[in-house]
Amino acid sequence: MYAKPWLVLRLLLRAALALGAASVVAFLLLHLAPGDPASILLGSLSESPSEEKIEVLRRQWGLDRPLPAQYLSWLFRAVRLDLGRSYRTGEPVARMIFDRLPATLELAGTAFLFLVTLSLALGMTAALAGGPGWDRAGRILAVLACAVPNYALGLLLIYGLALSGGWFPVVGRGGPGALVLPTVTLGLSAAAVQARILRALLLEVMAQDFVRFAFAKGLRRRTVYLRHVLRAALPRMLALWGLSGGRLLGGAVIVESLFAWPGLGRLGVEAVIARDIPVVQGVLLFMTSAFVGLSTAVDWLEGRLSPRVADAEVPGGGGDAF
Amino acid sequence: MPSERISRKMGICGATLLAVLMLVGVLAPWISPHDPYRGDLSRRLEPPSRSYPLGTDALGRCVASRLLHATGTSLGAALAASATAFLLGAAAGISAALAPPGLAALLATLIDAALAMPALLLAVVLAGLMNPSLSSTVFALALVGWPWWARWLRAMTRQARRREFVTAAEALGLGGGRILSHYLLPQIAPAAAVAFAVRTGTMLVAVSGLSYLGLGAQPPQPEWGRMLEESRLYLGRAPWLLIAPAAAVSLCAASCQMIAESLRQRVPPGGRRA
Amino acid sequence: MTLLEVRGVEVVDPSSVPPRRVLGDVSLRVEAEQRLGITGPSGAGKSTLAFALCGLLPVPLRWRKGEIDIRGVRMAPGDSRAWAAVRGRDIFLLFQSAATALHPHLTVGRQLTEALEEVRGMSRTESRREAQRRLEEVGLPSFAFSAYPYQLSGGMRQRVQIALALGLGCRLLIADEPTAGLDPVVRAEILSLLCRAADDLRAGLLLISHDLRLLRGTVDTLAVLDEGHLVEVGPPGRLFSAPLAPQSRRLVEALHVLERQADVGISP
Repeated sequence: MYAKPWLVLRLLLRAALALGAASVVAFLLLHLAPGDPASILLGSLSESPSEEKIEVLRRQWGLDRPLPAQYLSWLFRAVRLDLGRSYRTGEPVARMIFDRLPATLELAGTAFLFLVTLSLALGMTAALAGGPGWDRAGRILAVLACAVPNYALGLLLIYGLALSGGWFPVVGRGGPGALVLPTVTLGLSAAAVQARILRALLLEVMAQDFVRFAFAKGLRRRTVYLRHVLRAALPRMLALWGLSGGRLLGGAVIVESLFAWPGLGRLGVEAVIARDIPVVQGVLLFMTSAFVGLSTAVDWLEGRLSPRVADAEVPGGGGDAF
Repeated sequence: MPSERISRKMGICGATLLAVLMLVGVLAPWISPHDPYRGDLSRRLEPPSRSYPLGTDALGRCVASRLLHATGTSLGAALAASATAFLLGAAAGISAALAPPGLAALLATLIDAALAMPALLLAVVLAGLMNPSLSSTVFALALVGWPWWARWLRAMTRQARRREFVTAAEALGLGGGRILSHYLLPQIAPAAAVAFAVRTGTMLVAVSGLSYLGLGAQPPQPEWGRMLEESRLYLGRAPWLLIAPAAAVSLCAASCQMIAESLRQRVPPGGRRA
Repeated sequence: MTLLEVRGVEVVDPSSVPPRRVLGDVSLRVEAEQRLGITGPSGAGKSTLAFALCGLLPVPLRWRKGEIDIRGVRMAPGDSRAWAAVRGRDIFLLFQSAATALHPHLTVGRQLTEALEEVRGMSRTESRREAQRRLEEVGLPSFAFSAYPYQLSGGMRQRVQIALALGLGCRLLIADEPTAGLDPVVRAEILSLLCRAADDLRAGLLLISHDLRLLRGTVDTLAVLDEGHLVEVGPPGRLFSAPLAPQSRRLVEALHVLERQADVGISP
C-alpha cells in the first residue's frame, strides 16, 4: 500500500547483487585455494594423481575453459540444485544439504522463539516496571551476557548441567532434552542484548506525544500499551528480530560444532577443514540465499508497516555481523 | 544522576581492565611462571597448585603461562582485524556518502549486498581455504568485517552532512577535504569510538571462535579459543582447563562492552541501528 | 454547573536541584459554557497546567498540593483509575501539536473509531458512522477517514482532534495552543471551529494561548499565568484597559506596541 514500488525494486536488486557476489565468491573458492583446482579435486580421492587423470578431470569439469564460461556453466547447474558431489563421500551436495537442513531449522527456530519470548518479557518488564535499580541490573546483565562468547557458554553449560548434573545429554540430536543446551547457548546473549534494545525502544515510544494523547482520549492502559505503543515499536522490533534471525543462523556455525549437532553449520565447518570444496560452495550458497531471503522479507515488511519509513532510505541489514 | 555515575565507573573499570590485559600481553614472557610450550608429561592434568596456579593441561604444560601468553595473541589479532576492517569500511562508507548520486547509490547497494552475506560462515570458509593460521584468520575477519563499518559510516556521514552548519560551510564554498576533516569527522568520531570498542570485542570473540574451530591459531601456539577446544576432552576431569580461558575471553569482551556502554551514555545515538 | 474547580494546586519538578515549583498555588474554576482563557509568557507553566488538569503530568513532574474537582468529583493525584474514568468522558485535552499527538502508524479513522468504541461503548458500525459524520462536520474531505496523519496538513490534523472531541461528547475542552504553527487564515478557521464545537457540546472551554489578540475576542474570562502563579483573573475588557498586576501590564503593553507599529506599517 505505502511500500513504494521502488522500495521493492531496490530490495530485489540488493538481494540479486548479494546472491551474485556470494556465487562469485563460492565459485572462485576452487581457484583461490592454494594449488591447482584439478589436483585439489583429485587430491582427497587418491594419493598421487597422475598427469593423465588430472587431464581427464580438467576436461570433464571444463577447467580448461576461460573462467567466465566456467562460472556461467557452474551457476547454471547450481540454480538447478546440481551442486556437484562431495569428494569425501561422493554424495550429491544438494542431498547432503537437505539432509542436514531440518536439524539447523529446528535449532535456529527454537532459539528464535526462546530469544523473542525472553527478550520481550524482559524488555517489557524493564520498560514498564523500570526504576533505576532495574536499569542498572539490566545493564550489568546485558554486558555480562554479551561478553561470554557462545562457545565458552556452551562448554560451561555442558560442564555445569550435562556432566556434573547429568540433566541433559551432552551432544547430538535426539529428543527435546537435547535441544535445551544448544538453544540456550545460541539465544541467550542475543536475548539479553535485545531486551536492552527493546526496553530503550519502548521507553522512547512511551515518551511520545501520541501515547499521552491516547491516554487523554480516555483509552484503557491495556489498549494504549498493547495497541499504540507496541504498534509503533513493531517495525523496528521486526527489524531487530530479522537481524537476530541472521545472527542465529550464523551462530549455528559454531554452536552446532560444539554440540555435535548434525546441521548445516557443522557440515560447512567439516567441509572447510577437509577442503571438500563442492560442499563448502553448496553450504555457502545455500546459507547466503537463506540470509538474503530473510533480510529482504524483513525489510520489505518493515517498510510496509511504517508508512513514514517507506519514503526514507531502504533499511539495510541482514547478515549476521557476527 | 546515579546512572551517569555507574556509566563512569563502568568506563573506568573497562578501560583499566583492557589496559591491564594489554600490559599482561606484552609482559607475558617475563611474568609467566613456566615455559608455555614445554610440558612435563609426568604432571598431566594437575589441579591448581602453588607451582601451577591454574593447573596443567593434557601435555603437562602450565595453564597459567599459556593463558598469559595467549593474551597478546588474541588481543593483538582482534585489534588487527578490527582496525583493518575499519579502514576498509571507512574508505568504502565515506566515499559512498560523499560520491555523486549515481555512484553513491551503486556503492550503497554494493555495501548492502556485502552485508547481506553470512559473515561468520564466510570468514570460516576464507580462513579455512587459505592455509589455516592466525594471520589468515585476521585477514578473513577483516574481509568480512568491513561492510558493517561501511554501512555505519555511510549513514553517519550522511547524517552529519545534513546538519545546517555543514550546509552553510558548503554554501561558503569550502573544499570537500576541509569539510570532511573539519565539519564531518569531528561529528562522527565520538560515536565511532564507541562502535570501535564494540567491534573489537566482537572481533576478539570471532578470532577465538575460529581458533576454537581449528582455523585460527595452530598448536602449539597458546590462544584462548584453542585452549577452550583443548579443554573439551577433559571437561569432566579438569574443569580448570575450561574455566581459565573462558573467564579470560569473557573478561576481555566485557571490558570492551563496558567501555562502549559508558561512552554510549555520553554520545547521542547515531545511526538508527548503530 | 461547575465543571472544573481547582484550588491551590502546586506542581514541582523534583529532578532539578533544588526542586523547582512549576505551578504554585493555582486556583480557578470553569462553569458550563464558560470560556476561560489562560495566557502568559513562555515557560509560565501553561502546558503543565493543561496536563495537570487531566492527570497526565509528564515525568518527572509531581502534583504536590491542592485539590482538583471535575464535575464535583474529587481527583486524587495517584488514582490512575479515577483519572482514566474522566478523561475522554468529562474532560478532553487538545494537544498543541496534532502532528505528534496522532499515532503515526494508524489511520485517522481507526484512531477515532477506537476511542468511540472504547470510551462510548459504540459498536463497530456505529463508531464508523459517527467518526465519518464528525470528520465531515469539521470540514474534512472524505478521504481523511482512511488517511494516515502524515498525509494531512497541519490544519487538517487539528480538525481531527476537534472531530474527536465532538465524537466523544466531552463537557470540558482544554485546548493547549491549538493554533500554534498555523497560518493566519487556518488559525481563524480552527479557532471558530473550536468555539462552535464547544457551543454544540454546551461544554466549557479552557483555551491556553500566549497570543493575547487571539484570546481577546474569544474568551469571557482571562487569566494571566506567570512563573507558575495566576497573577490576575478577570474579564478581558477590563484586563486590557486596566491591568492590575505588573506582569499582565507588561503583556498588554507589548501588545499595544505591536499594534501601534502595525498602524504605521512597520510590522504586518
